[in-house]
Amino acid sequence: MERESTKMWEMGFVPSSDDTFSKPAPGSDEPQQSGWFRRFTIAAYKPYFDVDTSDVLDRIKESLFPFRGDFNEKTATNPDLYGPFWICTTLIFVAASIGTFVTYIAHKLKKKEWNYDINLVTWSAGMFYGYVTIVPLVLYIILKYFSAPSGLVQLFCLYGYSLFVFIPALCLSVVPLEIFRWVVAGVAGFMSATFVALNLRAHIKSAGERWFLIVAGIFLLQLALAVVLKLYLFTVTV
Amino acid sequence: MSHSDTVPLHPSSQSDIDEIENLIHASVQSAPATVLPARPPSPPRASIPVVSSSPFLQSNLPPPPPPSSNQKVPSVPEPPPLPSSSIGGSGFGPAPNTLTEPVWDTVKRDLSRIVSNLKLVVFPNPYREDPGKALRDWDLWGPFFFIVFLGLALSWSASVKKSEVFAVAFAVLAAGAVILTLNVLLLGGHIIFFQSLSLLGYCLFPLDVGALICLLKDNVILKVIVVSVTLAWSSWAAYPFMSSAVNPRRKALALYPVFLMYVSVGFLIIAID
Repeated sequence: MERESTKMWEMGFVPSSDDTFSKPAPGSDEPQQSGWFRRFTIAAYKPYFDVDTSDVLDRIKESLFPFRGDFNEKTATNPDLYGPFWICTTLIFVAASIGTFVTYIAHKLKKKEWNYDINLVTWSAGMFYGYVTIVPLVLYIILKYFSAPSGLVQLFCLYGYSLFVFIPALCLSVVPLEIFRWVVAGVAGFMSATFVALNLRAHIKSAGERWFLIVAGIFLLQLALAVVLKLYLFTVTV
Repeated sequence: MSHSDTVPLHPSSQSDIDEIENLIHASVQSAPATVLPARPPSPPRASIPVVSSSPFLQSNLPPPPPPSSNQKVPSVPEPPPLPSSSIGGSGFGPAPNTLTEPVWDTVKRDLSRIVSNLKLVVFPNPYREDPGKALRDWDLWGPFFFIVFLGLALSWSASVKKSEVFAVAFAVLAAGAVILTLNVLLLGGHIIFFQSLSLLGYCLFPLDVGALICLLKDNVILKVIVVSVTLAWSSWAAYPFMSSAVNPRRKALALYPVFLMYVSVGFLIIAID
């Protein structure tokens, strides 16, 4: 009886589940879905993940040389969301782990009491995801207002890759020297801010006289992020 | 029953000119006429329905067919028994197999499925080259247990904010599995959504074991070693599935997030105590 029922399960359930659950992949190729309903299909977001490993590595390398200022032009045809999302997620992990891991080892080897603050995960998740979502959104609206519209995905892409430099910075913040940490935070913040500002400058110049204000605002906001990171995350004490 | 029977019969008797239909109709009308007076207790009921006598005629129908079919044309008996027998066959065919079995049998079957799936995913076997094909019989019970167990193990070992630890661990594991699957789909990989969820959940089993060991033994060096070993084991289990699902040029893009999630889970196992 048992064998018969499992057989029924295999025959009845598995093919039907294949039919329904594999649908998102092939069904996503169907062009007939239209309007806002399409926003809920995977196909709508596939173009933003159309990158190979070498593309992503190139873009990350690009983000480490802030004075070139041609990142925006290079990615204009194919902005991706893979990089921004996983760079943010990596940052959350590094922020929540590196410092605490070092202190944990130190505490344990000294046989001291140790508590892990799980809120570090939630706070850093909120901060990084929030920053990379809200700032480009606001910038998108501002640029639209000044009639120099830029693609929203393009802005997400730029901001996401601009955060990459903070990953090595967070790793270096393990060194327990206050001056060194400020230097690391300063350099990383300056690189990231320059990267974003220079890449947007050429575009925003067409917005009229106020372009300098907008670029300066972008630059200062990115520096402020670095300062916040320094104050709240570069706090390893052994 | 009586209403559903009366509705189709009336229009068909009025509209159809087919001879067979007429024959059936004639038999229906003649049968109650012969049966009703023959029944002693029916007269009081027959007198009540003045407007619509058909429901009562139909409710009395089941008994008459046998005699009428015996008397009438051979074509008549075919229509009535066919639908009833086919409905009964399809409706109650599989039911006695699983509905009437003891609960323990059902649980045992599910457990044995979890064990066999676990063997397919986590332990070395000849199907490891393409676990997507091997894991045809996927289920979500196994992943659910493994995720909940890992969350509970972490929150047991936490000394403060136990419930928040469980919440964060559960959210990371459950959302992580969904996001990793979506990641592969978005990169243009070919996987079945829930099968991938199931597989990623089964891959957590080694980390479950690691968490259990860390819960029992509180020793920093042992913890780091155990977590490293189970981390490598989990990654090894997930590797063939994730790498075969996508284009070789995007292998690293699909594998890095999986590795990141297992590393962060391993970190939580070490750090929380």
